[in-house]
Amino acid sequence: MDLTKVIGKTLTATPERQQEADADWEIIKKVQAGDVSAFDQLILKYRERVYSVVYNLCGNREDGADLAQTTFIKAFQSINRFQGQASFFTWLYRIAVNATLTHLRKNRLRTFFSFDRISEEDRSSEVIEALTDKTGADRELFVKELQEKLNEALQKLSIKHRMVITLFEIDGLSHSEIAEIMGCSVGTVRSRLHYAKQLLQAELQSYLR
Amino acid sequence: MPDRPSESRRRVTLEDLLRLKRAERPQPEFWAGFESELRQRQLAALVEKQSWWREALSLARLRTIRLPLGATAVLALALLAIHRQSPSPVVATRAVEAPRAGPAGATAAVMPPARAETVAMASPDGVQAPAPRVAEPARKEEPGAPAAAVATAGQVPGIVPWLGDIALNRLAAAESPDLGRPAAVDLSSVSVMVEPAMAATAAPALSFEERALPETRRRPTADVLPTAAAAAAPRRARLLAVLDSIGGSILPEPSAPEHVRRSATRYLMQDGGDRSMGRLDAEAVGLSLVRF
Repeated sequence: MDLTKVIGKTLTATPERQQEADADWEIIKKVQAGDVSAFDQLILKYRERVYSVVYNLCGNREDGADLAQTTFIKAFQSINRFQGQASFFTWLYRIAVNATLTHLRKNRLRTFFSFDRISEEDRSSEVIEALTDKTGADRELFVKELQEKLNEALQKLSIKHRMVITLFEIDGLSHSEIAEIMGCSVGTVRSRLHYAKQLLQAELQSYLR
Repeated sequence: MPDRPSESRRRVTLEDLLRLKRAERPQPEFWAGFESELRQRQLAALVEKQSWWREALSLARLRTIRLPLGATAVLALALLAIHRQSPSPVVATRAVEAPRAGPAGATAAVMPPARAETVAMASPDGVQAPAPRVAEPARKEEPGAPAAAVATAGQVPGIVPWLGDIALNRLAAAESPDLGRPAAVDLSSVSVMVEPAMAATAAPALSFEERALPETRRRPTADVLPTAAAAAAPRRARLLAVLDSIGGSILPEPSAPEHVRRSATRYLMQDGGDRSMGRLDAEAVGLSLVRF
């Protein structure tokens, strides 16, 4: 039996998270009572995190914005079914992840990143120089390019490994929270995380020399 | 210090790249557009929510008509079960088909040609009798009586030659209007029996009368009168004996006038209560009384 599903909220209930969940629950009760405008507080609170997850999963800004909006709409439509058994934050993340997975399955052959591709052999050394040289003038540009390379490497991962990397390394969730969102065990999350890092190392080996 | 650039390059790790990725944030104007789009979609979702509630209401209305639908289904099943368990289902079928047949209500005219052929093939003697088309007009029937009730006795052997004398007797009795319905039952039941599979199995074992009619109705009508006459003979003798024993005490003297004696004799005959007494010879009774 999956212990994370049994324990559920207990694993994620750090004091900060618990305080946050209590505040969310008060807002949710207002929305469920008919105060639709109270939902705006939840949007303002979670829009950046939801967008970050969705964007890093799909790798496209336009799709990321659309999927983040879809996530909030779905949450708004089913807010009456939310019983408070899990934290709203986890529930919202699960909606976002499922919406992104559906989107990715529908658009499997879609190309990511609308900007022009840059030849790795020509620019990789400059990127590393710029990253290590903190006083360089072209640092912003090179950092952006490096981020693009990282995005490309992320998109080469499978959806599950990409999701684990995104939720853990970029969004800062704990293993148990990721396990609750993905519906798997903590050990599976750790295993996937380790394997995903190995794949990223292999993909970005030319930048990490 | 020639090694410093290479050392700084080695410090770049995957965690550094991920940290850069984590610091990535959209521009503030992006959130303005995001919020306006989200507001529009939220309003659209509210409208869709109303339509969803309408759909739920329609489902609720559907629930309200579930009960009559269920009751109707149960009633239909009950009627079907009763229809299947009724002893003579063909009678009801014929009663429905009768108005279509019109006034020309002979059985052979109602019966389809295919069935008439089947009747002929099912005859035990192997003779294929032609199914005659009855051209004479049907008699006027009671309202609601099946049109198939009218068939003369002379036409029956051509239609159902294997019915035998019993069916002929019944159809002869069916010439009277009161017995039209039993005749309709018999003839319409024939159409059931002539189904190929049933005729092959049922004809050698039991007669049509034994299968189609209940126990109380199997006795032929022609046998009733001889039985009643036989039962009346000892009764008649018994009444005569009673009259002989008590006649002297209730009748007037022989010297009484003639009209008194006749009225007394008539009274005794009516008081017997039996119609068979009316058939006794009045002179024989009178002579017996005189003798006493």
